[in-house]
Amino acid sequence: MSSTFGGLNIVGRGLTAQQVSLETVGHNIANGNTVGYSRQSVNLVTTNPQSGFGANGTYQTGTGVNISSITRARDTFVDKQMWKESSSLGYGQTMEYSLGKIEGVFQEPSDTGVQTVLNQFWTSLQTLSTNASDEGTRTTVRQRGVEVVNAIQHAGQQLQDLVTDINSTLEIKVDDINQITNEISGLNRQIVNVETGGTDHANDLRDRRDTLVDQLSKMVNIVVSEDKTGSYNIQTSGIPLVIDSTSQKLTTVSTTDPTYGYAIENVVAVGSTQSINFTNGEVKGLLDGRDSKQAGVRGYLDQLNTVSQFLLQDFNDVHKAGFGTDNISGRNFFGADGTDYTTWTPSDGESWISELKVNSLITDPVNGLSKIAAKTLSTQGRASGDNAVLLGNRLKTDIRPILGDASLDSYYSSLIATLGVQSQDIQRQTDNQQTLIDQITNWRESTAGVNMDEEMTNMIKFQKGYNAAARVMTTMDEMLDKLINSTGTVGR
Amino acid sequence: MRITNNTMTYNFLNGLNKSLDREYKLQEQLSDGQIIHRPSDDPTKVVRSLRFNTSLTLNTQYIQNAQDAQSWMQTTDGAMSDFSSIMISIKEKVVQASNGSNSQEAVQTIADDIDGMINQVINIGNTKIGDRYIFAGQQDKSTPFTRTGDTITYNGDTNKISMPIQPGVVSPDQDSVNLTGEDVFGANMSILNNLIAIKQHLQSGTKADQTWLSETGLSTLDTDHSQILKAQTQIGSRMSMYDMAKNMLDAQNTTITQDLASNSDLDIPKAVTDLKTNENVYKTALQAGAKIMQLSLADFLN
Repeated sequence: MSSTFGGLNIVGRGLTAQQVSLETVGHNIANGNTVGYSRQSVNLVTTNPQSGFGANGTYQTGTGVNISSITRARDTFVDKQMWKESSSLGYGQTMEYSLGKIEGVFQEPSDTGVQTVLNQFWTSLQTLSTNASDEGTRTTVRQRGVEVVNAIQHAGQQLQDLVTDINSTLEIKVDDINQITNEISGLNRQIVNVETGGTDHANDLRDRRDTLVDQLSKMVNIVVSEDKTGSYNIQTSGIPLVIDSTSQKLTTVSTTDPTYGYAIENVVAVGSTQSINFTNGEVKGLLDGRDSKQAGVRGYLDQLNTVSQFLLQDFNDVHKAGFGTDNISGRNFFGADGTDYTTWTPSDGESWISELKVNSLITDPVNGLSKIAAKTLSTQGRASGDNAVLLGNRLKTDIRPILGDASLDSYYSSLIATLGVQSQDIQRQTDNQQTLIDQITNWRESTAGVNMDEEMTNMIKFQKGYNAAARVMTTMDEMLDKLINSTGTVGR
Repeated sequence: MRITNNTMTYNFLNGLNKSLDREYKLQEQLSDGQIIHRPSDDPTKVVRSLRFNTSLTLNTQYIQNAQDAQSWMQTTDGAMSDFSSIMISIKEKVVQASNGSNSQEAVQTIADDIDGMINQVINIGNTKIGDRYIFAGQQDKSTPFTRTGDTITYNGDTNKISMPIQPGVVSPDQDSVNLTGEDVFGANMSILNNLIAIKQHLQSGTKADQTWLSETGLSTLDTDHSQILKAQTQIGSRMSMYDMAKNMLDAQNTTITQDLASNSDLDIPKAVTDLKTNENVYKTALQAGAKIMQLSLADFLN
């Protein structure tokens, strides 16, 4: 025989279950647009049945429904893929940005780039060769020389400004990383608390933690492992960032580049002095964009440096072999007067770029123009421009070992070609990576996303369930009412 | 695959952005008619563009050199023709003076004419083009011929002015454009000195002088005139070489400019068509997205 009021319990449980399910539907809809939210569903189980005694022995009556858990729909495999590919995307985007800025420094092809300035200098030397006694042509040569120096030094300065940019962005990123790892460690503790006992699921907390890991994975390459208590242990390049409820802070240390004198910042764990060797992520993109000798600012500064060295050594050689109109030879066109640049080496903080200038003897307004060595022999007249032709050849077509056995024109076009190819390639890679990330996002969304139509349907389902249960409750109520109030009142 | 609302919006926005990205690139190209604006747009074209620009600079400079050379040589040629006419006039006068029928005074008058013509020769010798003396060798800022009394001094030198029209080193046999004083008037200005000698003989006007004039005078005049003509021919042949070279350079200029244009100029009809196509794609994407994103079950429940 079943208990009198047992039925009410069954229906009562039903009402609660439907109500909680409806609330969960509400929660899903409310969070449909929340970043990183995974839809939650209520898992209903039947409660243990009760034995009743009947004509043939025992029969099992059901006792209602219970909520076993509320779980989130999440595919951890897709998450791991997302974290891996995010790092590559972060790297690609940062490199694309810095290479784009380097392209902006060189401004080719245009009428204002370094190539045009070099061409104009060559033209002025050629004009000098046909009319070397004219003050006007000599002034033009001097002026164009100054322009060459300005163009090269300006480009060098812009590249160094880019380094400053990168350094400050690096500091901001490190702050961001510290903040994120701190939050993750806090969430780790909360989640462990909630999930002790092994039966509960800290759904929203986990969603929040996964979103933070998404952000972190874009910045640095990470390896995430979840331990038995539910904490995420996150490592990057061998350095642990988050272990249980503690996080490792990172900071930047500053050194100076020996050649160019600009500040270099590197990322270290607080308490250590060893720079972390990242392998992917935005931080690595920033570091490579600055330090790489092939594709970074450093590499392109080095090439400008070589061009300056060429001008100070090889170009000056031809100028020194020629005579000015005062029949004196051995003068530099570029650089300081009297310095022999074949034996000079830059000291700390000096570079060929910083040393580049037009010889002050030549820029002297009083007699500078006569010092331009346009003739090859002192016996030639004022109008001899033979050395000017040689200077022009050295500038344009002579093949020199310092430029890797190429002429200055070839060297510079190679520089631009390499820059173009690197930039184009990183754009292509980044686009591909973005497409991959889009695909992974879709997979994730497919599992964990909220579909309004689905929720609406569920809403109707649970509403009807609730209504039906309430109806049954009313029926039972009337039955009990009959039992309690109307039984045993015969004849009253 | 299960599709959610966020999937739809995410992909909608991605597609729109891709479309706008294409439109942005086309707009950039149409705004100045150039395909390449930065090395990464097309690295091979950029390198070619740099090379073509360099070739164009070289070519333009050589054309300028050729033009300068031509005007220099034309001026020289004009001056040489003037020298030639003066030599002919002098010869006529000397023939007249030495025909034996003149008095001493008549001969001396002719001497004054000859003196005037000698001064004219010196003026022509000091011709300038711009502010450069054309017969002074490489000392082109100092007056080449100065006369004090009967001495004529040459202040220039014997070097050549070269105007190269091809890459490489200067080689005066191929690219010199001037005649020095010595080229025109012989070593130590012998032709001028001969003229002075003739003038002196005319001034003294005796019978012996007249005989000298009719024999030595006329023959030296002939030799000297031939030398002047020879120098003029030299310049003439150098001039025709430069004319040919300039024609070649002009033709090359056209070719290089065309190469440059075909390398980096935008095919405008194609770009405009692409732009229109892209606009349509964008519009369609917007329309489709707008319709789909707005519907949900909630609209149909009441």
